Amino acid sequence: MLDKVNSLFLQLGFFDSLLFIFARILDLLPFSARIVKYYFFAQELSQKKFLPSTKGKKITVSEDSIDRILLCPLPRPPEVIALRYAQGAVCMAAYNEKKVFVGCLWYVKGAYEEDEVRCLYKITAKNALWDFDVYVDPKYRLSPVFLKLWDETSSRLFKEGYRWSISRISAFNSNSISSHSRMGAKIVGWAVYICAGSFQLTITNLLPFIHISFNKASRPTLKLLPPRN
Amino acid sequence: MSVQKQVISTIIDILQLNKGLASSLNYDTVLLGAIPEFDSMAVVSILTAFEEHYGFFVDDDEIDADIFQTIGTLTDFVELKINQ
Repeated sequence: MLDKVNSLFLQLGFFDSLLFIFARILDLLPFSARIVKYYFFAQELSQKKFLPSTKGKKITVSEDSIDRILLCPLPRPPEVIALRYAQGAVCMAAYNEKKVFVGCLWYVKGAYEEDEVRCLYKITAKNALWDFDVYVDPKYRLSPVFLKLWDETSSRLFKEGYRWSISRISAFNSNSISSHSRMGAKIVGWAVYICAGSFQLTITNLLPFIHISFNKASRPTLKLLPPRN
Repeated sequence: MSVQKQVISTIIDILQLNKGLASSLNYDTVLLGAIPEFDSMAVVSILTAFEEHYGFFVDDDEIDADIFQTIGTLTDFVELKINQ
């Protein structure tokens, strides 16, 4: 038990570990309350590839239409997928040599409506956009699928003039934070959401810093910018 | 250097493991699920390092979770590739 606590504090740091413990306690309570914390990461886009040229040669990546992605074994409800396309999101899908769907990632330009808490993320820089929901079929988690997806999408967006992709990662997901950091992503902000029923308190280091809402119609808008070089 | 020592040394270098964890690695050390840094990016980097060091080639189809369960299973795989 002590080892688990030590490991938690080593992986998440002091404050995020305390928040994580508090969030787990809330999960056990009989009423609907939760704490969510996100870090906003900016990943530089480039034509330089993470994947060596000898790897991932049998994987193809292409932009998929809603009709095609709805036929893929992507574990997301059809209404969520439809909502993403309605927001103008683009799905880049990866297929193996047998044309079997093996993963995808999404991006959207301008703004993204958060689907886990009430918040709108606005990407105000013209050379930046928002990426979200990277999915890789569990059978391919160790394969080059993710890097191939990222390399192809990054190269495509770089050619369109984009230089940064911003995303959010749960502060409690140390594996994903570690992966992003090793790819060179930089933290550009954070937000904590304390939700109980229809009440939501947002605390963030971005404007407006604090936001309180009591119903679905009210949510903060966070303006996200890439780091200054 | 033995294959096992080379495997351990490569993992330490690529994952930039801290000294405490690095010194505890042995044949039975669990990799997948036990070392948070062990993701698809790490797998590609580790395999590429072995390819460059030993001169063999690993096809994407050969990449399987079973190979990366422990230092021992990874060492066995590298030895198999060397002897092929």
